[in-house]
Amino acid sequence: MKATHILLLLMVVVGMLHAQFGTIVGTITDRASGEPIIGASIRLSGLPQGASSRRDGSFVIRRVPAVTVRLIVSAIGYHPAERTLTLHSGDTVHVRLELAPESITSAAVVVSAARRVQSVQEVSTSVSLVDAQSISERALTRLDEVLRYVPGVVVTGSQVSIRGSSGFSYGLGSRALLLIDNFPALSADNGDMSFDALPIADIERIEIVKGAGSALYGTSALGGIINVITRDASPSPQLRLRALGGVWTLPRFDTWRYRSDPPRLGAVDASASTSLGTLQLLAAGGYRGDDSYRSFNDSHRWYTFGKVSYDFSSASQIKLIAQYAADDRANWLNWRNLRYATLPPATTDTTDRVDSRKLLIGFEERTIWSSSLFTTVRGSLYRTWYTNALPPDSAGHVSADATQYTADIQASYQATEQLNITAGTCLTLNLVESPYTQGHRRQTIASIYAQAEYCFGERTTATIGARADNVHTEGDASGMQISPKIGVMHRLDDHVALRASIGRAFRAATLTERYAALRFAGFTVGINPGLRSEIGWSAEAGMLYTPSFGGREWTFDIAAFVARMDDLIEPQFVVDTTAEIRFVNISRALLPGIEFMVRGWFWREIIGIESGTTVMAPRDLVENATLRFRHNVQWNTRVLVNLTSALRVHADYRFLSRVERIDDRIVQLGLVPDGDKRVPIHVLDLRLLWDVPVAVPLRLTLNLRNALDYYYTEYIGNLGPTRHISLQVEWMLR
Amino acid sequence: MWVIGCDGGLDPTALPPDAQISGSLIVRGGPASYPPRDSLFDLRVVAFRTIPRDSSIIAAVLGGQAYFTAMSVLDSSRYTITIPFTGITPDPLRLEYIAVAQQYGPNVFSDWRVVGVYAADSLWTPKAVVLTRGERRIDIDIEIDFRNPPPQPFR
Repeated sequence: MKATHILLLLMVVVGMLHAQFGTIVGTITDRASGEPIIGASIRLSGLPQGASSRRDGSFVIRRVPAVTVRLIVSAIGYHPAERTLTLHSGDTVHVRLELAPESITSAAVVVSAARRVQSVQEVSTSVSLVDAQSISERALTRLDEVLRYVPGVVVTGSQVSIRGSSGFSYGLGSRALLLIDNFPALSADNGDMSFDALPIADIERIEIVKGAGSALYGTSALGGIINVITRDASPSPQLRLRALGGVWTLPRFDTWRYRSDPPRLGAVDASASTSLGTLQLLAAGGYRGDDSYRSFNDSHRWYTFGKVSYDFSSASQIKLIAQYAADDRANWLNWRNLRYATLPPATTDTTDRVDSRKLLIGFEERTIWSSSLFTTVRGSLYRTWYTNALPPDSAGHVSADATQYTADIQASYQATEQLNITAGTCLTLNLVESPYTQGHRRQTIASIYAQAEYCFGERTTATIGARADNVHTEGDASGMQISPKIGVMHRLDDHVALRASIGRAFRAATLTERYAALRFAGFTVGINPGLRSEIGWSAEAGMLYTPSFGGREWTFDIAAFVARMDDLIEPQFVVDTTAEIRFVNISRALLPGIEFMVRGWFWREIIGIESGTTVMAPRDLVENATLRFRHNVQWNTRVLVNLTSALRVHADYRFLSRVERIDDRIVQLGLVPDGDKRVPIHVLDLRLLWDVPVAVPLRLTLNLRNALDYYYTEYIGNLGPTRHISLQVEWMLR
Repeated sequence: MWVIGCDGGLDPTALPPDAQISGSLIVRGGPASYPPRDSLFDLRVVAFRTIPRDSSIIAAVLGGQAYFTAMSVLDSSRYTITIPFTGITPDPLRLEYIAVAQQYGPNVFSDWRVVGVYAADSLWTPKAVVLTRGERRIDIDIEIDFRNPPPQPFR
């Protein structure tokens, strides 16, 4: 810690001695119409400064280092643009940028891969981006629904697996790190994600960084990082409303019809934002209710979200986010059997419900100390409460109160025009209070990290970095994890970028995995305080190719990857004949694969396509067999057809090969009847979008999901979402 | 794989309406250990949902609490029991006690004794089996000992 403070101090002093700044003034307009674009995001690659375009499309970025900078502009519905500018001290550079309309957006900016703003082409690892437009067009209401369309990402219930990193453990111990606006959002007890605790209508983009991410982010980034970036407040007053209503169609089989009328679902989201000088305000809230296609699976979810940022000066900005979400849902675990796949087991107490709440508060302060140095200080609190409706003195009662506190200080130093250094220190404290962990439990993780990026000319960038995490869990010895990473990116020309990287990652055993002792879903779970951290190495080589055909830019991306994971924590039956399990470091796995993505328009911009394929051969090295609970092939394809300028038809097709292996003992012990019944997954979604020609932007989306009414399981004993139809109305006033 | 519809995915109607258990019958001491024919009226494999407390096996079968081989297994080294899954059959179905029962007297309702049990160990500790609709278990092997039969569960 002391070394970090000295390093930061040195950076400040050195940087302040060389303070030289300029100003960028510009305008963003629509290339086709010449109209100003409001709310476009303007960022400087590698620097903290940025702006949003105002009502007349103009923007100003002050206190820009007097060096050569890359300006990156993105806006929803437009192809991003870049411009390289050279500033001298005291200069004001004027720039005018025109953006071309684009329905298949390829947001150019990412912040998660290197903890700083970068163009996608600068990144040495695979990154997938989901933007607000595709979330809106697909009428999605939860994060897990969004992630299902991302190549290389598989969602099984409450578990997210990036390139096969996770199997199936009811969401426990996520091997993908979830961030919301760069603040960690995995629960302190289970290390799991809460998909509903997100302001889905105010997401600007989601960045999915694939492969080992612990060199910058520490624990849980074993398979990758998911960073949900919320939108900034509009420069002018703006009100956005979204309402969605629909029904689940009745299933084909009589034994699956648990009610005579179609179950309903609906959602409402509202968001208001404005800027008052240098104060930016955004407030949002929403409700979603779902009767569900399964009995005893209904839910009611609410959320509120607020974001305030204030520029003290052109060199200092603070940001505060607060989010609260609550859900009241039935406690569905698995089906009764395939014959009654929409009913819970006959022994289920249907009076039981789950009350789950989440609170995230995050504070961020950014200071530009000089043209070469800026710092970011972050602090956050993520608290989760969980209880079921059974009396506290009953055997089935479960409750937990878990809080994660994090503090993070990061400095970015542009040592020379070629060398950028990012370094920081982080402290994480996990606290759990729960009957099933036998009271109070505590885990601390103290970390220090540094990463250097060096540009060899204009075409090649090499990255090297490492992070040290000291994990201490109460009652157990501390453990140090060192996670290095090396990457290189090389631009062959303006259209081809090659990348390669190798890195180590780890996941510290969660407090639940160590200390939980409870009965759950027919299992008896025993404690194992001596669990070690999971570790993994992953490597990849890839190529991004962006040729232009007929004046339209196409994107091709191909990557070959391999991950080796050791000491994977899996639930293990103590003896084969009982349902008593314990979490143990048992598995070693090898996960090789290739991934291919293509995106572009053809036939005079009437038909667009976006397709991603991941082929894997995951192996369990202990059992010398296919790794359990993994799909070997995933294929997502989206086809867009512009019937007119206001009327469009979209189709999404999602394929996952049949899970080759599961844990047969779950079925043999009778814990999940028909748990071995599984098929390949074919899901087709169809939608019709109509931009209604009225004074204010209004869009209607008719959405038919799982149009073929194809029946499948995403995980054992759980029928996947059946066919449902919904109508969504989006309205924006500004 | 029979549940995979070629175009619609999972299909509950494709499940067979029953389950089966089968296995080998091994007689300790071989044929020489068989009791006299006048005390061996019948020999059946019976699967009970709960451990039986009286010897009225037929009543248990008629009451749906037990299932037995359709034919005598007197001259057979293998057996099969087919268990129909009706609307009232629990799924999964737990069979707590699977035994070979000898009818030693003329009274078909009461003259039964257990001469073999599907066991977890050599001490005849009963081993339960859990079946789901459509399931086939072929490894339920049972040892029979006419001379030193297992402890009788009947009161």
